[in-house]
Amino acid sequence: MRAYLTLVRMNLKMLFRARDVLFWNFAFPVLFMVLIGTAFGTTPGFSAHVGVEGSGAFVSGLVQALHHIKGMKVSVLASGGIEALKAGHIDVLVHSANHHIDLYRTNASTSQSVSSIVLGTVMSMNLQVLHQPLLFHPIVHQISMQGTSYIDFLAPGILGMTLMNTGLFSGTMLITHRSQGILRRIRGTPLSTGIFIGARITTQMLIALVQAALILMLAREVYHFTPVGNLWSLIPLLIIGELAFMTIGFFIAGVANTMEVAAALTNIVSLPMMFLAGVFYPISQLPRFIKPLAQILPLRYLTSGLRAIVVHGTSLAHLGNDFMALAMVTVVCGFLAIKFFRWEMPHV
Amino acid sequence: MAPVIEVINAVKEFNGVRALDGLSLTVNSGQVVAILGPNGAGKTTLLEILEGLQRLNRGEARVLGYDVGRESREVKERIGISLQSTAFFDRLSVEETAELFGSFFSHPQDRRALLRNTGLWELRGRRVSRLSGGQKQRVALALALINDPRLIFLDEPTTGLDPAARREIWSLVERIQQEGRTVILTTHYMEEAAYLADNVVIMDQGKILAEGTVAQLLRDYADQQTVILDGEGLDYLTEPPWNFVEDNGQLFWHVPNLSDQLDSLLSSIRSRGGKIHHLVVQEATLEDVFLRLTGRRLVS
Ligand SMILES: Nc1ncnc2c1ncn2[C@@H]1O[C@H](COP(=O)(O)OP(=O)(O)OP(=O)(O)O)[C@@H](O)[C@H]1O
Ligand SMILES: [Mg+2]
Repeated sequence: MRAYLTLVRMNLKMLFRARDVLFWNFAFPVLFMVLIGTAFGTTPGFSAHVGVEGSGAFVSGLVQALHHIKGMKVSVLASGGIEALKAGHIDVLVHSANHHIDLYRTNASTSQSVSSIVLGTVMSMNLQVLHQPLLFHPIVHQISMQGTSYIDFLAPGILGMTLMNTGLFSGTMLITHRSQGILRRIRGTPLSTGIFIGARITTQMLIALVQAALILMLAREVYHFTPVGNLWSLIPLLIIGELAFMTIGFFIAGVANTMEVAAALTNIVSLPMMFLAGVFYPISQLPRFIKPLAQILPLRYLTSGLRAIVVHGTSLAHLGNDFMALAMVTVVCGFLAIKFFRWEMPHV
Repeated sequence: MAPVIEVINAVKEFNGVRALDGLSLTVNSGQVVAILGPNGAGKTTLLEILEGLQRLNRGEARVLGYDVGRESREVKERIGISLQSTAFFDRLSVEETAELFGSFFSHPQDRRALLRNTGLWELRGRRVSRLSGGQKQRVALALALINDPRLIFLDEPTTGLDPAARREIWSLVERIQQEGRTVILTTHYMEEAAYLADNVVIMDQGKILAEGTVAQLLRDYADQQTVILDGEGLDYLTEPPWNFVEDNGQLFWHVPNLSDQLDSLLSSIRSRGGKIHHLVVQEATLEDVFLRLTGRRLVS
């Protein structure tokens, strides 16, 4: 027990002294999230530009009414309205002269929607002038909803990807210790292999928790992502997911002789998962012929489980499939890792 | 008292290469034993078998009364080791490394006392990656002592070190012996074996060729001295009956009892009109023992 705790403590110390490892574990996921989140994460609000030519009561009434619509910009033009419309500087042109009103729109979809808004506004101006009571008067209710913005989708995806990458890396780190002869030296002590590996796994679990907290907090603070589920129920999923990827990493460490070979193998494992396992877009958008492949990727089960919890508030009890899949990966790769485990480099 | 090490007919093969070829060895408590041999002699293999890092193909090896093959955990708990090429975690300090390794044993000794005794106290906060070769070797030695072992294996503790660093390791080893521990070390350096060891084991090609104290070995295998001459008109000495060997302009003569023959050598040279510039008489060394036993030099 003392050996185990000391190992975990020393592992953490070494982690905090290794800038590159710190970067990949914590800074990289954050930067990645900021990058992708800023580029694609926030849905742009409504914005449109209406040009008005002419003057008089109608024009000033229209300008005032349109001003109240959020995101709508109105400019009164002296001339050149058609050219501005064609050039795309404005979305709709309203021309008014002697009670004759023309509305110009283009075939752009914004133009179509904006023209409906303008027509609606003109209609209600008519009704006001006629002092007619409204027969049909809908009351508007707003319901907020999760999972509509891209960041809701992205945040759990990035978390899953981060757990995969750092789990794989931490597993293959064994190669460095083996080639330096540290494993051999440790083997010359009564320490059992189980405790040594167990301490590595524990260290990585602690890292995974911090990663999860970091990514979810960033998503909430910067991108207004609100996780709905019970966040404590993330922990079992994080653990089984991290275990699955660490055992894959340990297996790679057993097969590969050098860190370079291991890096290549790791890429072979992780690159398809980055793009096919529902990190950046849903698996349902994949081409049909690739979908069966996506179903066998371990990361797919981690991202879907994480997403289910934080976006839809699904309880753990309903994530049996994801758990089973990740547990199976852990058992199979754990078995292979033990079978291929080597204390030292083969003699050359 | 039972021997601390007992090896009987040990055979270890690596894909056809016999690293240990029916080797037997007994070591008694409190000795410093130096295993001397050229590259590939099987020194490391022998040590690693005794440390429980490798298993014998045939034969028997007992350490501190335990069968190393079957009770390696018991053995590892009680011995100290320093491997031929060893590394520790670069990002830990000397003291943290000692703490970590101490935690692997049921009864570690006091870390601070250990660091003081091994001259590492001043370096305790330094990262392992920033240590010199000699300092690293001292850390390796300190870690070999962390469980207060009765028996210590040091595989080439001074290889690659400069003379000053080597001296420091030597005095540490002497101190370890004074504390009553048994030390088994391997080395390529004869003077190291001669200086440190109570017993020297000469190994080659997986076999022990000879063992004993330095004096015994010299008496048994190198009971001779070497005369080294250079001068003028001495070339005739390479012919019988003298049979000097010429090398690099110098003449070498190996003789078992020089005192009886020195007179006749000198008068022969005088009568032939030869002239001596330098005359050196060298005592035999373990190198000569090795040469005699294997027909090769230890260091090429
Ligand atoms: N793991 C291994 N696999 C294959 N061959 C090995 C292995 N370990 C040692 N050998 C071979 O066994 C023989 C003895 O090697 P060993 O390392 O014991 O020699 P040594 O006396 O320690 O040499 P050195 O002075 O160079 O350290 C050598 O021929 C070596 O190549
Ligand atoms: Mg060796």
